[in-house]
Amino acid sequence: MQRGRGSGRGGLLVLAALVLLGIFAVPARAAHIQVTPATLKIHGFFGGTRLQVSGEIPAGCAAVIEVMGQGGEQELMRKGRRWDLWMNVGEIDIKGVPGFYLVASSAPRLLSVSQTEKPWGYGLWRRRARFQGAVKPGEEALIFKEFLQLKEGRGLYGRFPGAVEVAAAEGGRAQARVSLPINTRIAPGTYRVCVTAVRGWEVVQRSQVPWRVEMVGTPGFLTFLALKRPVLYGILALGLAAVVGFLSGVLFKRK
Amino acid sequence: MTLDLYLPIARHSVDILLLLGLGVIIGSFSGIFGIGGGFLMTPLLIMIGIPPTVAAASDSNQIIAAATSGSYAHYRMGHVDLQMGIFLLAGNLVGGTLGVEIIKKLRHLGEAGFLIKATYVVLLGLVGTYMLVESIKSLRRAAAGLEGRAGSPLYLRLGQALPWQMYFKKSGVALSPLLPLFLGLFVGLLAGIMGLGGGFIMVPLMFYLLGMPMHLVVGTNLFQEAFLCANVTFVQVVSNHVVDLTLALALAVGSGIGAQIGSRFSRKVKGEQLRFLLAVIILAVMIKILLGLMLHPHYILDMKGVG
Repeated sequence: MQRGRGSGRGGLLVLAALVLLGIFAVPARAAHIQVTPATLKIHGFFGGTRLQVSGEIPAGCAAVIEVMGQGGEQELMRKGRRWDLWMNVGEIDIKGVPGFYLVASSAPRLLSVSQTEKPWGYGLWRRRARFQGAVKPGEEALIFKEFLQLKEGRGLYGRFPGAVEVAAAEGGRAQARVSLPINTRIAPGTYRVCVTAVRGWEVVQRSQVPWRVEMVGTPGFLTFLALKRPVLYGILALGLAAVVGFLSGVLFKRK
Repeated sequence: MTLDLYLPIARHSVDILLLLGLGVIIGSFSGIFGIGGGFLMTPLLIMIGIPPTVAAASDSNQIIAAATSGSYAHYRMGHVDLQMGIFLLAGNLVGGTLGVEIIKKLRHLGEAGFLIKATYVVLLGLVGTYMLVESIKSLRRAAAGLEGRAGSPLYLRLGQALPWQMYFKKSGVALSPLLPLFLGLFVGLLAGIMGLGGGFIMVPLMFYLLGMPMHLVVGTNLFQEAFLCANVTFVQVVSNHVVDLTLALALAVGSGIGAQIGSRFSRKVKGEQLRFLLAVIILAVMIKILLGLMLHPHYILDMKGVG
């Protein structure tokens, strides 16, 4: 009995291994990914930018390019109607989804909403999302849709079907290229840039590189003060405001 | 062509000319009406994408500039009653601290946001309607060539019935210092709960309850509000790390200039006209907040601590 169950399991494992090998078979030559700017530096006059990503893929493949933040917990407030007025009616935590996610494809079909089982796109995060708090059973799909709308509205999630350009390159390879908008709300930290080569619906290559976002100059200094030296930051805030107010008074007095 | 200014605590960029313009407009209201203008500035900052917590805290920081500039201008014109201002400020600081504690408890109950907005609607509605009716009556009396003001005799009698009567020479009123102390405490409490300086409540109450002349109300409120907002800003910096100095400074430069323009303009306008204008603004803000509570929101979710 035991042996029979074991051999059944063994067969399933072999089958699973074969499927995985088929999905994640990486050719001898891995994709070379280039990200510009290599590190995003947020300075005092930063107003958003465009991220250029390019990666080598096998010729004849379609490409999916993703930029994603660390997976973590998204803390949200849910609004509801009580006594004919809209107010916060509870907290919702969504675990297992990144705070920032952009995805683009060369073929629009690769990002179609029905493709929920693929290892990219919103469908991936819908599968991984775990909901806690003010969510009734069966409401998960609605809450996730609202979550996506909120994130897209803030420029922190984005879907760009057909935005990736694929051009022939040397050695029977192809070059996948995309330009993605980076919103000013992006948080400093380490992100991942992934390039996936797809033939039909089969993943033939998936590579990734880390990408850094840093606050530099005055914003970096002020953030350090605000978080690490709050008393000094407070004195500076009060002093500067008083000086600005007083100076404008003196200037107008002279006139 | 825009010149974006990155706001590191708000984590957002805004056109610097837009921030300066907002500062000048709201700062001029400060100079005219003697209010910090937080109840106008905070919703406007939220509308341009600043997280509410950062908007309210940074606004209290910039009010210091407008209030310093405005009160200095009014002081030069002899329009600040320091004696009354100190009693109001003492009550205000105690009330503000109590208010912040109350709002912490309410946040744990999860209804703080709604309660804040509901309190706004009720208070702005009451204060705005009363001021509007009273100022229209005063304008009609002035047009008919009649003297006197529409202050409530009941309030004035209450002030005179309390112990430790004191003469406030500058304002020309005799009343117990307990009245400005309690008034400061009450407004500070509400301001602490709502996260603002409370000038839009304080100004009408100083005029109607304390019987102060309107030109002294404006300067004296700005004087005490500068200190009140300094206290709020410091607490917000140390406890919550939500004051964006870049945002506050950009607004402060604009509001410092605006406050000067406003205080000059206020000399050319009569008290009842000022009250009428302020009543209209207060009621407009009340209607905007009420609609926000009644109409279907754009998103049924919001980022915690952001939206």
